[in-house]
Amino acid sequence: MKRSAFRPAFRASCHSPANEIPAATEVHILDDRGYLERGGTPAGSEASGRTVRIAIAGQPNVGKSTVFNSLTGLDQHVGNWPGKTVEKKRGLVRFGQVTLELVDLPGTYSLSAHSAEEEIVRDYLLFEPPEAVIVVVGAATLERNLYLVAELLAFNVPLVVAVNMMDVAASEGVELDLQSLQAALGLPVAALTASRNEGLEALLACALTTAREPRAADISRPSPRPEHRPIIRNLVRLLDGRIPSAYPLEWLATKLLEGDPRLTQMARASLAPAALAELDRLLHAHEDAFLDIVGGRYDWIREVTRAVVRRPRPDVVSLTDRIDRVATHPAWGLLALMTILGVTFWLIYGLATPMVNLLAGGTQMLAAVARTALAAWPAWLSGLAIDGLLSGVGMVLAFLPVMVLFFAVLGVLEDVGYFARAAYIMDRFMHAIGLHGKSFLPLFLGFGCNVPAALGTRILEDRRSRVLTLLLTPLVPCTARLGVIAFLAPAFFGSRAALISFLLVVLNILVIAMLGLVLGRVVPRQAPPAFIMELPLYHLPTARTLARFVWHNTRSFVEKAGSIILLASAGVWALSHLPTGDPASSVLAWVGRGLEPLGSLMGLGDWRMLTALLTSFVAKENTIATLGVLFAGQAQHTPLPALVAAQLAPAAGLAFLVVQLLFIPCAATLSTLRQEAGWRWASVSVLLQLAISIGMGIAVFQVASRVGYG
Amino acid sequence: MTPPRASAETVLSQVAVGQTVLVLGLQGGRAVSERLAEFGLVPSARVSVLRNSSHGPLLVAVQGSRLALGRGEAAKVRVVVEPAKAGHE
Repeated sequence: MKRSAFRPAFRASCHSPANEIPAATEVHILDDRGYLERGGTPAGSEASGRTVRIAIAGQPNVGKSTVFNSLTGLDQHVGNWPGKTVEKKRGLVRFGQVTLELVDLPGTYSLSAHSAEEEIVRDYLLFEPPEAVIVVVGAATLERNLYLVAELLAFNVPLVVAVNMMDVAASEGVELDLQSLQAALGLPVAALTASRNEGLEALLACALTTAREPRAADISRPSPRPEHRPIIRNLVRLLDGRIPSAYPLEWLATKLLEGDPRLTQMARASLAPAALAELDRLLHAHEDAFLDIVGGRYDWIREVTRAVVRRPRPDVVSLTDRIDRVATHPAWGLLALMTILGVTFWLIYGLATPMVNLLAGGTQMLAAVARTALAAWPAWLSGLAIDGLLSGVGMVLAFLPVMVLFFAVLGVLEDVGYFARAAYIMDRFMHAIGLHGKSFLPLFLGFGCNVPAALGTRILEDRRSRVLTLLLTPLVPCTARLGVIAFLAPAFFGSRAALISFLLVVLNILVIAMLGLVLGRVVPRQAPPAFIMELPLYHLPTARTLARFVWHNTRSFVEKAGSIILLASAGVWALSHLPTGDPASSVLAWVGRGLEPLGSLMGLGDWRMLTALLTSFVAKENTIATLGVLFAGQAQHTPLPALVAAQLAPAAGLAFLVVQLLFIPCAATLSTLRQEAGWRWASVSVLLQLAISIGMGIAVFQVASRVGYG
Repeated sequence: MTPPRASAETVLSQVAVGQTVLVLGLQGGRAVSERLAEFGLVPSARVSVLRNSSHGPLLVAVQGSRLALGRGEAAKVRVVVEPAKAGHE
């Protein structure tokens, strides 16, 4: 009877979007002040509408961020979870009379604390419970994804199950009966394809209904196997009244049996010695219970999906099967990976470089125009504005095509699901340095920007792998550094620019491999870390998700150009004109000249080149900004790269590019390294790269000039 | 689940490509076992081996998802070759 009472509510809210649902969702942006610290309503919300707080949870690779992004639009309030550096995203959606505050929880496979993410999710549910939680699951990977649902059911929060990527299920030949799933779970279920904006409004309506009238009675929950009930009862009795009251006792008992490290620590700290001894005895006697508990959740999943999922027969070849025949093949897969890298590189050169040159030329023309327009200004002011700010920032913004293109390629590879294949293919090579395939992912990301790459090392479970990978990531040539090469190489090397640039990247990768081999021997080995990684099913990227990825990444680059690089350009201009107003006798020249003996070993006797390298610490693209400032006063109609090339022998130009590729991490990367691994390793990283870059610079210049190149 | 014949028992890293097996249990360290279990390699789960060359990681299908699994980890999963169709499913 209960079931039948539940059904109509489901139909109205989840399966017939045309019914009782506002025609359009209107997106509102929250500013920083719009939030109260803890779970309240935004301070500025109108009195007419109530704000309903809904969290979005899900395992990785279920398209959770696409769901959140599609619901909230481009502008979200992004911060960090209190005390953690994990990204916290919030957005407001106006839905009929109500304002929904959506909170994007970090993607986690389970709620056992392996890392900060799991802890965030469960602390949030315990201490600031939202009015409903949307759990996103993948249609084609339903069984495994329901594991998180099984865990979330232990909390006293109304759940809505959002079955996403229905299109992937169709392309994999997986058939789903969502009515049966909803009946079996006793939870509202909504179908969607978030990448195509399908089913989102129905999902919101469904979540809202669930938040208003949660129905707990029908819900099917995983229960402990009968043989574990006594031990859970004993644990509950032991913990009752002795631990902070926010924790549901049965859940806590289960998590202790599962061996959750943080909760065990919390419980142990709260117990008196006698109770502690009893706890340890109980946990020790039931050491293997975790397998039954986890197994029990999968038993429940099998039960609720029994009549739901119809998979194709094993001999039917799906899209993922077909692509993986090549992409995960030991030989073909490697070839595919190399081809992808090669094509990416070629695209950047073929398409982006001409645009970069055009924009850089435009900047110089603009500077010339500005010079006549601002002729009436005091010399120092127009100098600062034109030679400092305009030349510096303009040159950096000229890189934009390289960034956009690279992030587009990266976005496609990520969205399609290729990244994990690259990690799978590279696993055997990474083993040579005592790492496994997963370490390849942050390194791969490093081609975009080293900061997310350093953050990406969090997917590695053990400290040794993390530290080793963190030391290697800042050596990966990021778009900014590749951009500097793309900008200068044509003037330095003429028709051989593309080839030499490619060889420079190959050299860079070899340096990374060598350093990996050396570090792999120096840093003490432990038991090899476990390699367990999900390979998401392939799906077609959509223009919208791709545009969002590119925008999200490019925006931070533009913001950097508008803030740090703007300041640095002004600073470089000031230092190159103080105290006398003449660059040749400025503070910067003095510093640069001090380094000339070292520089001349690399053919870089010109203080301006050394200064450009030094200021690349601010941001790698600042190399160009600095050259722009320092060369600004010279010939007005010669392009900057040609001006620089005229100062350098080809061997010195080569050495310059090598050094700037391998030079110390930029400020943003360094602070990320410090945050992730501590000052000690961050310093090691700086010293290592200082030694490597200068060493390689000297070697390349000496060899190149000996063989007559230059 | 009917008890399988002991003779067919092996570890996942020994299973040939294309075969489907049932998980019997996990051996080895607690931390790795926990992660394997979370990803669905629990007793009585059905696992298909998609890739398994003489060295390098395996590729398996389990609980509707695909997993890359190091050889060492795969060697910790005790499995039995699935007995001929017992009628259900």
